[in-house]
Amino acid sequence: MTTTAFHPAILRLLRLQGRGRGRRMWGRFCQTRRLVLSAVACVLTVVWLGNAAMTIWFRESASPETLRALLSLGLVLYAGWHFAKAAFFRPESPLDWTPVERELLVAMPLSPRDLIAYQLASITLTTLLKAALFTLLLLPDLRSVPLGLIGVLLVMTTLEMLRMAIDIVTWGMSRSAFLAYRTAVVAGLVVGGFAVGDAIVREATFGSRINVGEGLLQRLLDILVQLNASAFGYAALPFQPFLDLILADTLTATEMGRAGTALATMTGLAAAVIGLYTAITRRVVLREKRNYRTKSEASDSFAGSTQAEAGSALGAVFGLRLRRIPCWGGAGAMAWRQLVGARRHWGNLLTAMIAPAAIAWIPVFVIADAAIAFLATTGTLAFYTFLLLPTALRFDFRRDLDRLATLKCLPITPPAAVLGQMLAPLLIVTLFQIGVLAFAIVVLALPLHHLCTAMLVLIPLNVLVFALDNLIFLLYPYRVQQEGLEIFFRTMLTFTGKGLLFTAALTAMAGWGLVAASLTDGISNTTGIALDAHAVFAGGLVAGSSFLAALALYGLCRTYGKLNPIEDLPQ
Amino acid sequence: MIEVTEFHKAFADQVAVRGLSFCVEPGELLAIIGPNGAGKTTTMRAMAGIISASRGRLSIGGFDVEGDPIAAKSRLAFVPDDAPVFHDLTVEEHLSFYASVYRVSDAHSKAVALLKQFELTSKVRTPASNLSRGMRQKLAICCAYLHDPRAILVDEPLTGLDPQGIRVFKRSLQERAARGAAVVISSHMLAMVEDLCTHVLILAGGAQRFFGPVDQLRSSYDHVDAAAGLEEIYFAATAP
Repeated sequence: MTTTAFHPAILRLLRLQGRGRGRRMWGRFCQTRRLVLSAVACVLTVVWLGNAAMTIWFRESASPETLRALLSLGLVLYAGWHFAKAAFFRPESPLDWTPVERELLVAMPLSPRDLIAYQLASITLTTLLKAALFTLLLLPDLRSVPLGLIGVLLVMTTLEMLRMAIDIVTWGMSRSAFLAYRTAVVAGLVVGGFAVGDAIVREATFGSRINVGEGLLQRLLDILVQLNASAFGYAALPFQPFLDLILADTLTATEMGRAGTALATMTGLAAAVIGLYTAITRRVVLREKRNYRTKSEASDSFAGSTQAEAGSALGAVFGLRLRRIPCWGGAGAMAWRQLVGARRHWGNLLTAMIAPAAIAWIPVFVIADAAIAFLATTGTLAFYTFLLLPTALRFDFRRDLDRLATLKCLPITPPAAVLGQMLAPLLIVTLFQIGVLAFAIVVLALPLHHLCTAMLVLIPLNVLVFALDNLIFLLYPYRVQQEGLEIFFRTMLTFTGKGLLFTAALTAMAGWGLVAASLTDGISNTTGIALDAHAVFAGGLVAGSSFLAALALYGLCRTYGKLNPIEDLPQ
Repeated sequence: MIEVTEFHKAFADQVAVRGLSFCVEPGELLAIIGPNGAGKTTTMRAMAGIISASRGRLSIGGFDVEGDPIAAKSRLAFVPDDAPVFHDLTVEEHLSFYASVYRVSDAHSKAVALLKQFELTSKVRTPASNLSRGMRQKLAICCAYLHDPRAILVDEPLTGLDPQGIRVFKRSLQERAARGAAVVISSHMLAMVEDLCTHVLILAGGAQRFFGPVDQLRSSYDHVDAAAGLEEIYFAATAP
């Protein structure tokens, strides 16, 4: 039995791990072959910090109502996301551990309290950093920075514990209970979605569509404030002590009381998580014993007959069905394999796509001009594809870290391997975009050629985005499920880089628009042949993005060809 | 069939293998033995085309592994020690995948025979992630054998296999060698090597200490007792 609050070995392990992680990160950062990427990371860090500073200095502070609405609905959405994620992607273990951690720590003489403490401590540093960065971004809005920081830190830790609790509970559910949970979550999502839509449409002030230039952002913020003031606001009630703390003016006795309440909530949740872990692991063991006993009682010779049943079942089951997979130089087989993986994770895919589809459709119902609404939907989709979708759709090289050596010893050329690995996510994302845009076309009653034009631009963009993500992965490989500071930094820098690239692409597009207009005018005036500036603009856009996509694919092929799975991959 | 000439491999500043040369003809079973860090796995991986050689030439069936990798790899099967499987795929999906990649004709009958041989018939619809380590190893062997490779490379092949699996696997290697395959086994299990292989390559510190038929091994080490087993010879050969 341990005499201190937590086992001293846990604290020592965390300290040593932290030191080791720091050494590893620095070592990788300084590797010769990664110097270019490390330099890019430094530049992006400066850009991010500059951007954050400018946001803090130049942004107008939000009104207290708007800030409260944004924070409460954001927290509710984030908590809801944890519930939904667990419903579509059931945790395989009660705690989010690496296989090594699971095998080593569970076998050690540590109490559930120690294990939860380890889990909490491993996420503390990342949570602290996230809270500090978020507080930094909220500087123009916060009236008391220390209270804001404490509030943000407490609410983020609470949300982490909520996630742990959900993971433990869903892991421990029986099959029927889990199906009931999943049904309830799906029903909740559908009902919630309809209710939000209905509330927006019913509001007299928001019933009418708006024209571009009327302050779309302000209208959206007004809608959020309205929603928060309605019955939906009750969903954020558990977060009220935290919100009050974040939005507090000065440190008074009331605020100290609120901080105490928030801290008590968090501590209570921590205790609940420890209790849940203990109770549910015990319950799972008992259920297994009970199930086994029930089966044994149902058949006296259960244990003895198991072998025979397996044998007879074997005869019935063994009907080997080998699929006929098109080879295409190996690309077909690789793509098929990734698609099988995607099919097995359909829940994740669905979860990842529902939200962006809903967001992309907002302009369809809000903007009055049909063509502009369609353009806004396409733009939203392009932005989402560029920024977030590659993270959700990792059915390519990024989930094959441990199998890259196997892939490399197959008789498949690097271009075929790249094509095969990329085809599945590209197919999924393209079908998703066609679905979203087709819906928009139907609702807006636009001709079909709008959809074709949009897809002509989006398909090369998809290739470019996924090729870039895979290229970065092969240059700087990491484990998909890896968590912690390293991934946090990586994600932050990747998003900053993508944001910069997206801005550069928009600028280039605007520039090309001007060039295309003057070019067509010049040609028309000189030759007398009437050229359509829109067609020239669209053609240039497709050609430009296709060229960049081809360039990224070429780089990916070369990098894969040169990859050394022994030296270049993290163990 | 498998030819390695003056093979060198360096990782950063460290030389893992230096000046390795050997040849495995059809029907021969070569064992690569040596202490940890001797360069066995590096050599196997280079022959499989996973890593490139720093110097030298490696060829499979007359095809240079670096110059014509597709032709070389098409004739080769490599089974690493950690049984790399695709976790999302079932056993039969693995076989479908490999049949497609290697363009295997009559894949169905070959797959059925292999599954029966390695006792995986009850697991055809089981995802690889649900298989035990030994079963994953058996699946990797089935996938490797599916295209009737002319060169077979196996790294620590018996890891995780049950006694029946070990017997079946050893027999399968002998059968395939008898049918003209060149086999290379990297292992620390000297008893198995003595029992199974026709040739031995001893490595120590990245250098070649001995290469030749098992029969010649004893005569090469005069100071070792004539009745000594492979274990004694191994220690004599790998002594610093």
